[in-house]
Amino acid sequence: MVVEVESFYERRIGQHNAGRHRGGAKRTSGRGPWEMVLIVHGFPSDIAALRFEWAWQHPHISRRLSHVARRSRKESSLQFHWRVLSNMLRVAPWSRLPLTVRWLKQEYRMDFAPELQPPLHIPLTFGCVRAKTKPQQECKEQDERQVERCVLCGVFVKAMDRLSCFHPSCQMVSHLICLAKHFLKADPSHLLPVEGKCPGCHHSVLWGSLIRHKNGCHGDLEEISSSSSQSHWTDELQL
Amino acid sequence: VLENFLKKSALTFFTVACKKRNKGALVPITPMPGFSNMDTPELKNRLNRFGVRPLPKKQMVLKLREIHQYTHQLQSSESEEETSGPQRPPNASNSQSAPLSFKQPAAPPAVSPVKLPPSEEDELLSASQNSNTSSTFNPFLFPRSNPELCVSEDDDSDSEGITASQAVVREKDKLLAVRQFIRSDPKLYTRVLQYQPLSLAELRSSLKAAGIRLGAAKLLDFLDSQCITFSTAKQACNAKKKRKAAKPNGGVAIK
Repeated sequence: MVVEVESFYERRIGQHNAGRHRGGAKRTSGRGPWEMVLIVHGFPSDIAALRFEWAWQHPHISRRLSHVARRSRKESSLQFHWRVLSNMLRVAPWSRLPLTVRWLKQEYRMDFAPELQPPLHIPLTFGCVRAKTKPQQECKEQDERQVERCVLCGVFVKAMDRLSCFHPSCQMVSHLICLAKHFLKADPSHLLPVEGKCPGCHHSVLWGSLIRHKNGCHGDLEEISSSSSQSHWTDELQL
Repeated sequence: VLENFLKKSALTFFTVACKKRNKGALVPITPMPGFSNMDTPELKNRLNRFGVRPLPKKQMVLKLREIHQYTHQLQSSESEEETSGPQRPPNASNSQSAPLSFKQPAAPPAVSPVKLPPSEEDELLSASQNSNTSSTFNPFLFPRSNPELCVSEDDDSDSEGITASQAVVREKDKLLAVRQFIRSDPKLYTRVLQYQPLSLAELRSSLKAAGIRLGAAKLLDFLDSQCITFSTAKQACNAKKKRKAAKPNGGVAIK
């Protein structure tokens, strides 16, 4: 098994596996069917994902990974890439991003080494995923929505500044900046929050999840069991 | 060849002269390491600290020497006499009567050859281990194919001589100022909070307008330490093309 690191966007993944003639990545065509074993997802922008990919592929020249030793002889390609990944998740500029590490193939999966544990908010999980087909959500028109006040400062909240909690029955609404400052009280040297307690329901929530919820893409991936799909899991991506 | 020889002997001379003087006002100069005796991996490693990609071995040696010269110039720590270049040796014991001169850098670095003490607020500085290469050098570009930015430092260094500790304090203040700036600009902060990339050029000019002058490389380090995504003009152009097609929930795969 040859290991390669690729970045993918939901749209591209089907193309990628179909090979070059459908717009997939040039390098992999003609080298046999690829097996996707591990993905890191949750990048909030193309740029972030591209940069991550580049660094993962070039740890020896990435500015932020100069502390990562080169591949040793006893390390397999996958082990090396796993070690590089473990290091990447622990340093800036990636350590505060709302990422998820997901193994797709049980037989290859590895755990993080004890000394290379990722930040607490980055989950390690297993299982194939696909994008959900969402039923049309009641999308309230901005005018129809009642005027809401921020639970933290009391001032009216405009749609573009609005954050709400995604927990069912939680009514919390606040300004982006108000909640960020609230979450950062415990972490004053940073600008980007990672997680905090919802002032409404008091559940611990990840900042990334709140932003996804705001953008309407929270919970848009669902697990699929491998037995249920005959075709390649990427073919089932709905976009 | 003669010029190189002169430079080489001048270096040795100044090193020796420094030690003999024992004035205490001058910062001692580390003699240049034997780059030509190092093996290629070590050369690559050393260059990497300055953000320079691997080059043919001979070029790496030359580049490292150049870097050493830039970083190891005489500078009085009291800065009574501001020196941006080497001083004329008082007793020219060699036969050369003409003053020896180095290639002068365009913008003299304000930092003395002494290593800067590590800042307390490490979160503000680059998370990378090599904090002594805090990008004060003009000509050294990052590898071009690297999306980790091709940054050429323009003259952001102060021209007055300042001590090492003053330089550290100033930088700390500047970084605090940048942080404060972002926090107090709702539009900007809203972008940051939604993980949207900031345009490096735009940010820099906004900062400049607010009286905060920070070099591109230092700003980049700061944004990295805060895990804030940024874009260069080139990236913004590519990103626009991709943004139409790609969903925000992108990923990276290993096969």
